[in-house]
Amino acid sequence: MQLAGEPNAPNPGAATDSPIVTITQVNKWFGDNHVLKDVSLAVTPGTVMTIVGPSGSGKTTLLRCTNGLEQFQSGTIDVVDTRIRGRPVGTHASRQEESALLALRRQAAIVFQSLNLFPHMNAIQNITIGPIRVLERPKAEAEAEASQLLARVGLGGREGSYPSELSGGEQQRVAIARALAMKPKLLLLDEITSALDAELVAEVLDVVEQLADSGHTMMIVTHELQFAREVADIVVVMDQGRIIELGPAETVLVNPKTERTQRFIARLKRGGFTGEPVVQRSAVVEAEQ
Amino acid sequence: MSIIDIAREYWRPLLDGFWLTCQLALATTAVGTAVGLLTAVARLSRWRVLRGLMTAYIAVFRGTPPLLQLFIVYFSLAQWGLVIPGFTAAVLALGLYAGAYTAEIFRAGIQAIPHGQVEAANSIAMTKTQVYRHVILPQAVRIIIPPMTNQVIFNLKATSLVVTIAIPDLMYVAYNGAAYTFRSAEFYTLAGILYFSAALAIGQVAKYAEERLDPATRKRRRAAKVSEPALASGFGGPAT
Repeated sequence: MQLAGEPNAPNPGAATDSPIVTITQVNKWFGDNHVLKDVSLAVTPGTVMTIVGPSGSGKTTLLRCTNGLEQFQSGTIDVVDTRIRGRPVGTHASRQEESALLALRRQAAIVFQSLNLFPHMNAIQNITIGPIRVLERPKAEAEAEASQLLARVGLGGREGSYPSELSGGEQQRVAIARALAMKPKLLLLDEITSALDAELVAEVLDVVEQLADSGHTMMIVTHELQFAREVADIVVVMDQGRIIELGPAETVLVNPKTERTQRFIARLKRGGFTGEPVVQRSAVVEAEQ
Repeated sequence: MSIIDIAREYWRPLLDGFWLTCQLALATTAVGTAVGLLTAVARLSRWRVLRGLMTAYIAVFRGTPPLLQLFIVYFSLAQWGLVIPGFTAAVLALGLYAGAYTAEIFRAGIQAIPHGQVEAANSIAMTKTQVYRHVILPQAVRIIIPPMTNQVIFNLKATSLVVTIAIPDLMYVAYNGAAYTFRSAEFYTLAGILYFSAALAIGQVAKYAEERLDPATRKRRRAAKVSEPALASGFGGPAT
């Protein structure tokens, strides 16, 4: 039996499995602006991939395409056994494509930068609405699992709290639990700490690190380079709609090959990125309590 | 003979009329709300023809007098062979009239929901219907309670137009009473009191609904129900 908290704990030796997500030659335009240029990558099960790059480099757009929230114009994205294809601007999805989209979203859950909890539902309702309505699971079962998930993100006992009664960091952790409740094969995190006050960032990143440790496959767009390096197996650097570097975290962020990546990291270094591991991130959270 | 005497002598027909007015107002509101919701959703659909039809419907029914619409449904359709009984004709005409306004109320409510809410619902693979039912409408309802209250009161008052097609509603009873007894001041004052109290009641229901749907009130009610020191987590517990 699988525990609620471990929806896709990796099989030992599963590293050679076929990719969870394969992005092939994806191109996207916003009007005349070519925001994704022939982007291709693959993420194998249990891999944590962080995507970094300057603003406007297309990293968020890529993540949103992977969840089908943005249309793209050419190429394909496969998530597990579901494929979505690019289609021209202004065309609507066929019925078949619509259902592929729904199937894809069951496999890939996204957590947003803006805290998009449903304000009219309390924490437990926010988490269980997907399992109950979309996966059609029994209410009691879904609620028991949701409670476990809340405990896992450090919010045990807050089942009845409404989003307005939660801090930004707490809301974002509920949003992570809401995504996990769908038992996705792939978790997409889109700058989930960018809208938070500095002192709330650590508690959210802690949860993400814990998810990484327990074997979740994730694609993470982030501005926190330090965090990107610690949590990632693979780091992708994007610039002007292209992947300019892709490789193990140490290689890419500490000894970047391309000049553009070097410049990008140099800019961030001025903002405090040292390339050295962070000292006890959890200290902040502990100090708060 | 005072207003009290008139009330004492004619309370029965007045209350009968008032009851019919209430029925008309309820039916009109039901039709208006259903038509309004469907129209609002259709106007936000991606089919251009549907959007155009709905926009035209709203323009026509908002742009002509409700009395004229009532006459067309009751008299003109009959001339073309479609005879509709008075009550049905009234509910149809006034319901469609109300629907045109209600549609705009719903549309404003739906469009007020941030797009992030729809995306969040999409991201957990909800279908379009589920997104409306569980995410958009519950939030939109809270926003539209004040304008909807106006609309329901408006619907109530608009039912008085049916006096012209001889439906014995409150207005009709008052009008006849005034004509037979020459006590128009008393009859119209009594009718006014009844209309006003119904409107007042609608306002109270709306106020109650608004409080009930407000998460803050819900939280207070829940806190009142739970006697043990609230969920032990550091926040939100009672300051003892």
